[in-house]
Amino acid sequence: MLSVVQKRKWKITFQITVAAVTMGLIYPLIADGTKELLPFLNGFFISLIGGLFISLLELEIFYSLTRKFTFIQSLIIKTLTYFLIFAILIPTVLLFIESIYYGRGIAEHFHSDQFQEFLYQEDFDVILFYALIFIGLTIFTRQISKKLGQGVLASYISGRYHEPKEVERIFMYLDLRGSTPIAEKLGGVDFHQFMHDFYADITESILAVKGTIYDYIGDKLIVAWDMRKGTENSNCILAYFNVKYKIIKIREQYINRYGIVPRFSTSFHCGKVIIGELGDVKSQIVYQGEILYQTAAIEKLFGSHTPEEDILISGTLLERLKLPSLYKAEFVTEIDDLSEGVIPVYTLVEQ
Amino acid sequence: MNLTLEQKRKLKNAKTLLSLGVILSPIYAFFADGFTSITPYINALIIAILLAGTVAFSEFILFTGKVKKIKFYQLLLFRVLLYTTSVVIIITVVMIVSRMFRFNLNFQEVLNSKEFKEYIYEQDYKTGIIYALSLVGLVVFTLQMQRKIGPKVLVALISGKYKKPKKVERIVLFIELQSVKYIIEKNGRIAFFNFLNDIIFDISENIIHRKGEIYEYIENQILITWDIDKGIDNANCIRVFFEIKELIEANKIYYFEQYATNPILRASLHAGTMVQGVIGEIKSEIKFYGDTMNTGARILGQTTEEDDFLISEYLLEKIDLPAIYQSKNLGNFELKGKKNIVKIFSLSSTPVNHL
Repeated sequence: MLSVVQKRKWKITFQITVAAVTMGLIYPLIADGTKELLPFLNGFFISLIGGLFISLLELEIFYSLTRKFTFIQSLIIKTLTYFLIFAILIPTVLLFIESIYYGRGIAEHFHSDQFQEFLYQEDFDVILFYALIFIGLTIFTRQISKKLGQGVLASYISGRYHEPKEVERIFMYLDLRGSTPIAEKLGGVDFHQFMHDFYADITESILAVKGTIYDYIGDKLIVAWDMRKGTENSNCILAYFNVKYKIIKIREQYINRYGIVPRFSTSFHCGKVIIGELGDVKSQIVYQGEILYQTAAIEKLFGSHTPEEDILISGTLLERLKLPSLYKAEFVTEIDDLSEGVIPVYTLVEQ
Repeated sequence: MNLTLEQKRKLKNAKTLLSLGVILSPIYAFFADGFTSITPYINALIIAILLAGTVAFSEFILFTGKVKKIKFYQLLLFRVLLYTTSVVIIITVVMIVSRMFRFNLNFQEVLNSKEFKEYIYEQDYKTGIIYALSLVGLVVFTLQMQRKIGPKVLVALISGKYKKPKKVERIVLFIELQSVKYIIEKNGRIAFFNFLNDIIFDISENIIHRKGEIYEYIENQILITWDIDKGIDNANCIRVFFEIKELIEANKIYYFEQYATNPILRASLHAGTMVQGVIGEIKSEIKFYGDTMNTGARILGQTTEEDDFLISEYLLEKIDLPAIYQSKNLGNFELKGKKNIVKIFSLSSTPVNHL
């Protein structure tokens, strides 16, 4: 059984490799036409191996780079690495495949005029150049896509939310508690760094349960799930526990750096909202609807209530969820609703 | 020469595009031909200049106005098709003309020459076209993306400019669309969304003219910020809201036709020191934090039907108010939950019939 994180990695590997193979097959089509099979074989194997290499490096090794380096620095580091890899990979693969294709020994083919010509004449340059442009483009797009948020770039390009539509979503508000005194204690710049660290540290915990990071408003983080992904294994609720245990695990570095461990509270609610692409310059894909206000209203309850677990869930969402058996819901209070009168609010306690 | 703000902006973009072409074209010539002869470099340069000209012409003259509401991929596809055609035509023509000079032949003779036919059917021609196309594709994509996510945001995210948070002095303008509840109840949420989007599309160009940066849309509010100097200069931050109101007024027939209501906007202006920095690993955003935002929002809460544009004394004192606008002192205003007291002024423009 693969974990969600592993599945995500496989998915990305698959995407990168498929894109690479496509590009690898387009090149011989343009350069050599469809007369021969060999260029396609070469293109296919170079791009397949190259694609797997890129995925491996991107997911396992370069993953931590982006946090340490700026965009442009990591782009340069990556491009140089890939340049080296492909400069070796292309002739090696060609040597193997062509020696099999022509039925020669590897050393024999290496010394053949045909191969020497390839190395020192134009073709090798051009292929390397082509591969690099493709890789540069992939890295650039991936990094931009990551910066924009999950699925945002794809939605822009496909125009999926060009016309607003009504969808059903689960929302989680995650609020950094006591932010005013923390801000006063740390000062503006350090507080900003503190928040950035906190959000960066919990990102993986949220992705692991299929949440989409929607927005940062003040010291609030808003996460959205579509109904199916959020209710499956009660993923949305697990986000709270994931974040909680992640912070407990790394609390020491917060103490050392800031002298405070971040405390947070979470509120959950679900319902129908409008989603659409708003704005010309500076487009945002935004949610609009009563549900967002209601979730904010639930979050405000933390001012007057102190449940044992820092989690509040609306009755509307609770009806749709199958709770982990360790926990049961406990009624806390109610909030006003325009149409239905009141919405009950629950917290979780251990059985 | 007297250029309008818009023309200046377009000219600047065209220059950037041209220099990009001039820098990138020799790289190709270098890869393909090395240093053996100067001709490939001249050809590449001319091709780059012509291409940049074509792209600039279509981007800034063809693809403006209502075109922007077309879906991203449709616009991208349309552009790529147009540029593909241009690239093929430009490269072919430049190559022919270059040969006319080099071999002293006429157009027809070059077309029939063996050397030229070889060039067309060999790899070089295709590679050149592919190279040019991928560059054009990249530039168009980046331009389209840049417009979408906000002109400065892409550059800032790439360069890592705000990776370390820092203190900046900024002006913030809150613009709020009024009677939201009424519109939603009457027309529904989707219509409200479209209504807001229409307004934003109509006013965006004007905000860029006045050097404002759209920061965020929150519910029915549009937040715009300036570097303090740029906002004060020429009273940009004040002019922009009056111009927006005039624009909306001029389009009110359309709005009433579509949504059976008139857009009413209110606004507040404030300035102060805030912390600016990148938040979030995924979904990175450049955010401002500080009391200035909260104070600006609270001033917005003080607007009324009559005094629909308020400004804090702190900012007003820094600005040379243009003669067509007046300010009126509304006195001190105690911010809820804040210890500070802010002096606010109401801004209005001289009615046209008084001029």
